[in-house]
This record gives sequence, C-alpha cells and structure tokens, in this order.
Amino acid sequence: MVADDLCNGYRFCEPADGSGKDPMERLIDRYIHRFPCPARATIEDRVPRVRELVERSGARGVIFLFQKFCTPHLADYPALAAELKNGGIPVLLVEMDESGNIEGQLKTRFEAFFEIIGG
Amino acid sequence: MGNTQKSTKRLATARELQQIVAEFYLEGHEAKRTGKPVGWMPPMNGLIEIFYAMDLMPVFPENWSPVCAAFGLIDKNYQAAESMGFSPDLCGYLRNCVGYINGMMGTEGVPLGGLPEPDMIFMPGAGCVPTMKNFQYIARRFPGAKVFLGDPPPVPIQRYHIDYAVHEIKRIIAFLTEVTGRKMDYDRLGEVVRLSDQACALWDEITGYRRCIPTPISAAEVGLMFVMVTRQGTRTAVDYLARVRDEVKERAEKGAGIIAEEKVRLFWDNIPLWYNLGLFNYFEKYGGVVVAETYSAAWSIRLDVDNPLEALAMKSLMSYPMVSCVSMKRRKEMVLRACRDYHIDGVILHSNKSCLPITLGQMDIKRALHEELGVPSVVIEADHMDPANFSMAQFEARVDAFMEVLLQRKGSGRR
Repeated sequence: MVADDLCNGYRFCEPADGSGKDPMERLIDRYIHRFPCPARATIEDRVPRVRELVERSGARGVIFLFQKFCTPHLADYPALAAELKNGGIPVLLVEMDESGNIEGQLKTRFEAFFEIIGG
Repeated sequence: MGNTQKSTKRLATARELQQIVAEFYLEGHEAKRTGKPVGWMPPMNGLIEIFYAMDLMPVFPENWSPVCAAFGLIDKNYQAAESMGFSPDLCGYLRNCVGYINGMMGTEGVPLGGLPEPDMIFMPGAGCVPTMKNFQYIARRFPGAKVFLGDPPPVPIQRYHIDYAVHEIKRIIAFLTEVTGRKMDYDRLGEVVRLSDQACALWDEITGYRRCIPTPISAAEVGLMFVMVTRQGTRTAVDYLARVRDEVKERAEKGAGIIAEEKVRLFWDNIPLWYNLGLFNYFEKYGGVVVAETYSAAWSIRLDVDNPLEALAMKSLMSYPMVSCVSMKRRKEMVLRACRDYHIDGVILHSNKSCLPITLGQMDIKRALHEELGVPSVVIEADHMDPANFSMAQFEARVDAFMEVLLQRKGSGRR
C-alpha cells in the first residue's frame, strides 16, 4: 500500500504543520488547508488529488474501501472510478460493514485484482 | 393494492394542480427557446425570489424526482445510475437525477418534456450530502453551464451570519448580471418577496385548518406543496393557495371532514412515498386520516417584506436545517409539538432508506411519544423514491394491527 486517501489515513495527517506567527494561527492554518472529507469536498477537487496521489506514488491499482452506507464516498465513486479507468488504472470496490465477516471472499477478490495489475 | 398507487384527492383545488405542474415545466422549455436563462438549484434558499425578480427561469432537479416517481420513470433512471457505478444504498433523489441527466434526458417522449438544460448551476456547499453530490454531478454533465458555489454558515444564526448571507446574495445577483446581462430591479424584488411571504402566510393558514376535528385537508393532498417548491414569489402560487384556502376554510366552517367519519388522527414522519401517495388513503377504511407530516412544515418561512435582501438571507440560513440537517433534540420537539397541535392519536414513522438523516433518531422519537404524550407509533420500513425498498404486504400487516390498537384505545375513551 503505497498511498491512501482515507479519512483516518494520510489525509488526516497532511499537512503536517501550518504557518503563522503563533501556535493558534499555525493550528488554524493547518486545519483550513487540510483536504476535507468527501462530505465537504467537491468531486472536481478530489479527482485531480487522487490522480496525483496515484502518479506520485507509482500505484498500479486503486482499491476503494467503503464503510457500508457512507454516502459521500459512495457518491464520489462513479466519477473517481471512471477517471482512473480512463487513465488506465484498474480499480476495485470493497464495501464492508461492522461485522467484518468478509475475509475469505475478500482474499479471493484481492488475489484476482493483484493478478490484473500484475502484482 | 400494488407497491405504487396515486392518492385520491378530495379537494376540488387539488385537481387543479396538474395544470400548474404542466405550466411550470412548459415555461422552462419556453425559456430555453426564447433565450431566457435557466438555472438549476436546490429549493428553499432565497434563490427562487431572486430568479423570479430578475425574470430568470428556476429549475429544481429535486422536485423533478417526485414527478419522475409519479410518471413511473424511476426504474430506468436507477438503471442508468447503477450502470455508472452508483450504489443502490444512495439516496433515491440522487440516483434518479444522475440517471436522468446521463440517460433519458433529451430523448423523445419524456413526460412534460423533462428538464430544460441549465445555463447556470447553483452548487450548495451545505445541506444534505446527496444534494451536494447531485449538483456536483450536474456540473460535470453540463460543463458549459456557469457554476455558482454557495456556502452557508452553520447555526445558531448570529448577526454576522446574516451579514455574510446578505453578502452572498449580493454575490449571486452580481453573478447573474455577469452571466445573463440582466440587472436586478429592487422594487420588483420587493414585490416578489411580498408574494413569497403571502404564499407562506396562506400555507400556514391552510395547514392551521388541519387542527380542526375533523380535518378539512389531509396528507393525500400533499401535492399542493408543488407551488411552495417551484412558485414561491409568484402570483400563481398566491392565487392558487388563496383558492385552496377558501375551499379548506369553507369545509372547516361546515365541519366537513376530508373523509366521511374521522375516527383516528395520524401523523406521518419523514418524506412521503412519492410513487405511492395512495398510501395516505389506506388508513381510511379504519376511519384514519393523516392529518400532518414532517415534510410539509419545511416549506414556509415568513419574510420581512420591508427588508427583502435580509429576508432572503434569513431564509437561506433558516431553511436548510429545517428537517434533514437538524439536531435530534429539535427534531423530537418538532414531532411532539405537531402531535399536540394537531390532536394526533397515532404516529407512522417512515424509516426511509433514501433519507438517513431524517430517519436517524426515530427510535428516540418513538420513545418520547410514548413516555411524554402516551401516543403509540409504528415503524414502516420504506423509501421515499425507490419502490424496491417497500413491501405493501408488510405495510398492510403492520398498519392493520396498529390501526386496530388505535381504534380500541379510542373506543375505551383513552386518547
């Protein structure tokens, strides 16, 4: 896994710091420059961000890992997936709920996906 | 009775509505042909008044969805959306709209001619997430349209929020002038805001008559809401609602109920089933009438007619947290108050797969109804846009049992 755009992944940590003359200003600057959750971001801003993440990291495929019923991510998916596929990047959609009982099925799907991207 | 059914409307004025709906859509296509700029927008944010004041054509994709449900177009739209990768777990309004704009839009034979293409798109930066995403997809579909991104601040409303919203409305007017070349006539805006306020006053008056026992108007006539969504700020809305008011008032004064013998008064929580408004008539065999609903209260905000810009600013700030973006505490209070005001005997809680924000908290509402008012309630699993998530047989089983309980309680003198 060379990069991610998860709400509780790298997106949560970037940018590492903000600028300003005191801690409060730097804190505020960091918060307002963080890339927002898809609930608040527009698709137009997110498409280039994900494309850039893929290019920068050299990723050969993208796995969309969704919490069941998460509207913002589910709604962004069609546009993001179409843009990535157009750019020759294979995608895999995995939806999971709190039960977590998808291990076996998931393993098969991941293996098939890795074969596609030549992993 | 199948999964989809139209309601039986008993008000003469409710039957006039069809023409008002057709005229609205016709006007949209006429606008396109004559070069009057068309803007697509979410409802209830002060934009409609500005559009009518500047002689521009507003279009409401959200309102188009119930129309699609009524015309039986939703299956095709859902298929188109699903083939694009939209999950069936997403809101039916969103799936219907993206499916429509990327599918049957522009093809022959779409009822009412469908929607006219947008010259401008108003993308909300707040409100419910499916609405925001819907407009982001609309903007992708019509890259030639000019886009205005609005961003209302959160509540509670402070003076600086109002100043900010006034500033945003001025930004909208400047945007419209730049895109369409039309200038705002502020006298005309004052008149439009006055008409909008009059429509709200009439709406409040009409819904007020629902407190009467028996009620002279029921949820089966909820289609009247169309003029509150698409025609606020016009003579059409005021004249029509005045006629509805006259009819309802007359019935109230005569003590004429919407059904022959009203025995049980019901409240419907959450959005109606647009493909099955006939459900509102289902309760009638038990003498049940749906007297009030959560949704119809969301379309009336009185405006300060002496300060049109501030009035619209307040409207934009007040409207989006009215039903779906409101705290659970406030939602509970709204339902309980409506049950007291409208003398409700029982509550139907529509657990709505297409609108999770309104559905969230219904169990707390159920408990509060029981503990604070002693009013029984029943949960119906359904979906305001997708008949696939609704089972008539299950509905009948639950509602039949529920209505028998309510009738028994009424019979034993308890309310």
